[in-house]
Amino acid sequence: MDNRKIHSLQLLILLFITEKATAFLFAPATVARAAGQDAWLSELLFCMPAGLLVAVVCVFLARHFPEEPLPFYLPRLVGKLPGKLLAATYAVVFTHLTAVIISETAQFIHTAFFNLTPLLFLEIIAAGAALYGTSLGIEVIARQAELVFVLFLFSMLLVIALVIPDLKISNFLPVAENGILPIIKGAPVCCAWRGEIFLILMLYPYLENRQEDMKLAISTVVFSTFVSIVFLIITLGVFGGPFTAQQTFPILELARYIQLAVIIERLEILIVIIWVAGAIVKLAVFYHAACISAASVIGRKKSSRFFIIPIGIATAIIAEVLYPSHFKLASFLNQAWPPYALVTELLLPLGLLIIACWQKRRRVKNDSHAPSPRATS
Amino acid sequence: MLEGIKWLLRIISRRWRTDRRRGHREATGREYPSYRDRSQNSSGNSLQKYQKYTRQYTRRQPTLPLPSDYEKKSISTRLEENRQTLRRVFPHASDLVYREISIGSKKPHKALLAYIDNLTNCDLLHRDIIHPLAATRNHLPSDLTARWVKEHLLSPGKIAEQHRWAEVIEAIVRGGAVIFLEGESKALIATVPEDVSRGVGKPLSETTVRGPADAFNERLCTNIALVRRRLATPYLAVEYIQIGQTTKTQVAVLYLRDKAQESIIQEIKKRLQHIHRTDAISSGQIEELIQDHPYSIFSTIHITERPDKIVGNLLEGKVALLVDNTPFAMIVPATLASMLQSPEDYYNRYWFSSFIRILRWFSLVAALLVPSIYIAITSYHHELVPTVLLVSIVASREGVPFPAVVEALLMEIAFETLREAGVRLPAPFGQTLSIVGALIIGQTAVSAGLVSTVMVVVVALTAIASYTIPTITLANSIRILRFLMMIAAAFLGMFGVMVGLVLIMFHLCSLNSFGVPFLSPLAPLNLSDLKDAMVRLPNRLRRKEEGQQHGQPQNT
Repeated sequence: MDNRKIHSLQLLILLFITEKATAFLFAPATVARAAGQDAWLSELLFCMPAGLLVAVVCVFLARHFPEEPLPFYLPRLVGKLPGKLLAATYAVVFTHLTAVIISETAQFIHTAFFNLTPLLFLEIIAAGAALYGTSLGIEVIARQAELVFVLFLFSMLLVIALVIPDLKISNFLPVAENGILPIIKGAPVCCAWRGEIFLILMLYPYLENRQEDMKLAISTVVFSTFVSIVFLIITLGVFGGPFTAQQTFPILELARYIQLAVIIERLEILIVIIWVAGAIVKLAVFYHAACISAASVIGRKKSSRFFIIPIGIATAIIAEVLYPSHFKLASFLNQAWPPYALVTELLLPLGLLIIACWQKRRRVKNDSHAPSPRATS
Repeated sequence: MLEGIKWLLRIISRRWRTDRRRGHREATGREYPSYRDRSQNSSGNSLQKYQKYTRQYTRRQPTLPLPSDYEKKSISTRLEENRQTLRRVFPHASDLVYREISIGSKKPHKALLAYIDNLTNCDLLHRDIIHPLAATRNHLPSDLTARWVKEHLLSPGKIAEQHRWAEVIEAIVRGGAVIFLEGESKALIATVPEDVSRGVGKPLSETTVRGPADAFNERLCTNIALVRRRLATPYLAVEYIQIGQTTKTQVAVLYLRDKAQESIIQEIKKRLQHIHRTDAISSGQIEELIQDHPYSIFSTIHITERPDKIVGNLLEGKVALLVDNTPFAMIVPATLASMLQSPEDYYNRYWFSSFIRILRWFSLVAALLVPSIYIAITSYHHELVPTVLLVSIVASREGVPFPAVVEALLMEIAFETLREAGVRLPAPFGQTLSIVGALIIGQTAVSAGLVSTVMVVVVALTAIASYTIPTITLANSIRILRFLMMIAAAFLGMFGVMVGLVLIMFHLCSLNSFGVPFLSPLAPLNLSDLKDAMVRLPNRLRRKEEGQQHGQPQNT
């Protein structure tokens, strides 16, 4: 592609920030609503395996075409016209997901700070900042993710350290009170977030040291599950299951709850800061994916810059029209998002992987005298 | 409509033309020449200014003989002809001295010495050139050659033989003394420069407590000497590149051959050669022309006036650019971390240096964000301040007629004005300014109810924080961005501050300085380089590491 390279650690951080930026705030309440005090079990038992499955599928698929992002090799896998259609679908999916993230960002700011400011205005500001990042290229976004990661780590540790004295073990007991069913019910939403690791399909060509791809993908999933569990444990331990489920943004409440001496209080500003920074990185990554998918439809890699502004405008409009209130956004996230993610993040890549394997086997069979160099991968 | 505009333009232009004619008539008592007269090259004195004007702006073929006409010509064997040529090349140079000398007493050979007396040292010239030539009692060969004169008579160390006018003219404007010999087609060029610079002074913009107190001055050779004295190694490379058609500014590229990366050196030379026709008075112009992001608000070239800083950076494998007539040298590639370092960090104990470095990062953020955070909190997020503090802030703002943003902008602009006045002010007025500034800003503005006391604290804090940044260019960038952040905070509170910060971070991430990311080793993260970026670890640890990397060009 642009011949720019991202180191595997950078990509890990980028994918981590990309997932956590929104999951961090929206996931805990949703999981707790279904699973109560066992939400952390739901993360551990179902989300991590689901994330790992997506990671493995996507890395195997990406290894078949290491030099191109997903939409560009679709025509070679499923035929020219279906491939283009599928690429266009992915362009629409990414544009839509970007709109969802924009609206998540704007809703959050709206709820936390600016109740009177029109949502569209906040959406445009957030989208504009992200589009600037996208226009600078994926390498810059990766560096930005590293900076944000430092902020992220710092504030996470601060919140954890200040809250630990208030943890009550009794809030977790009894474990699995109502059997396994509520735990399963809590899983889909956070599985969908964990599945965002599938972005590796779009970023694989930029990876510098490809021999570490699998390690990187797996450790991203494990690390982000770990962080999720830590935060779930803290939130549940302080607030208890029912109260966590009632909140819109439990982590924000957690930060509001912190009070140390008289000076350190109302730390939610920290959460907001890292959240906004992370969300903009996430937006930039999704915009990047959307632009590349759109460019693949017309078949030219370099034209992805051309799509930045049209897609930016489209996302702001979609966000405003489809999700004008928190209620609509939440109902999308709780009901439509898990199956939607299942198809785009797992089933489609899995199908493509099967086709790719089948094609390779046929190719190997056809010219068994001169095996292709990809046969080893 | 269009007709009306055309008519107006015609009237205005005619009016302007007649005015100019009348002015010319009153000034010279002569009629203003018509276009035809002007285009024909008349030698009238009153027209020279105009010719200069046209030459400059219409790029017409110059009518005066210029040195470029003589570039391909060779020197004549006849003295008189050479003198005529010089007269034509330097028609109005009263300070160009022609001196005829007879070499030998029995059968004198004639020689002509020409130099610009303001650029050459008269004592040296007399002692080393005129005296040996005129007073020689040696046995002269019958055909006196330039080589013989150079080897037997002249004393200065640096003498060149040239036979082209281009080199001769170049040497004269650079302060050389040129000797022509009758019957010889070569000229001798001796360098006896007049030292017109001030001595080595103290650094004005980068002071240290413990470090050496010598700073660069305007002379390139002094500056290179200051660096070379600290680096007694044949690996130190010094390469001259000339820039500017008229100024012919010398730029010296300095690097250690065993440490610097070849690709960076090549890139620098390429960029310098690319601008070789652009006249440059100081390093600031060259800096702007060769940097990677000319439109960025941040400079990606490090500027310093301290030779010890240059040496430290050369040892790290960086490349230094020294420009003649400028006391500021450039270091490339630059990173944000290197711009937040002072050479003093290496002279103090590492505990203290690390503490100071972390403090500088905090003050960088403070200089950028403190006023905007104040605006955001007082305008939007009262709930974020602890109640006791909020009460005192509100109490101090009682009676202030402006919203926080106006108050803050007012004070910041007042401060910036004061700072600028302080820099431009002649030294004797400094006392006045400081009293007036301190009284007005510190005391009177508050008691008059224009600003709150907390605001004064905020501005003072910001000012102090911005002065801890050791590099001027970086401090200036932060100064401008501070205003943008204040406006962002006024519109969108903390969200605005954060979005502004994200944009700045995006921009910083996108910057490169000669192939090196500007934010390295932070982003892309490099843990081993962080040891000498955010903090300073003890020298022993660092030296061990350098020992391991020995022989490889260091990746800066």
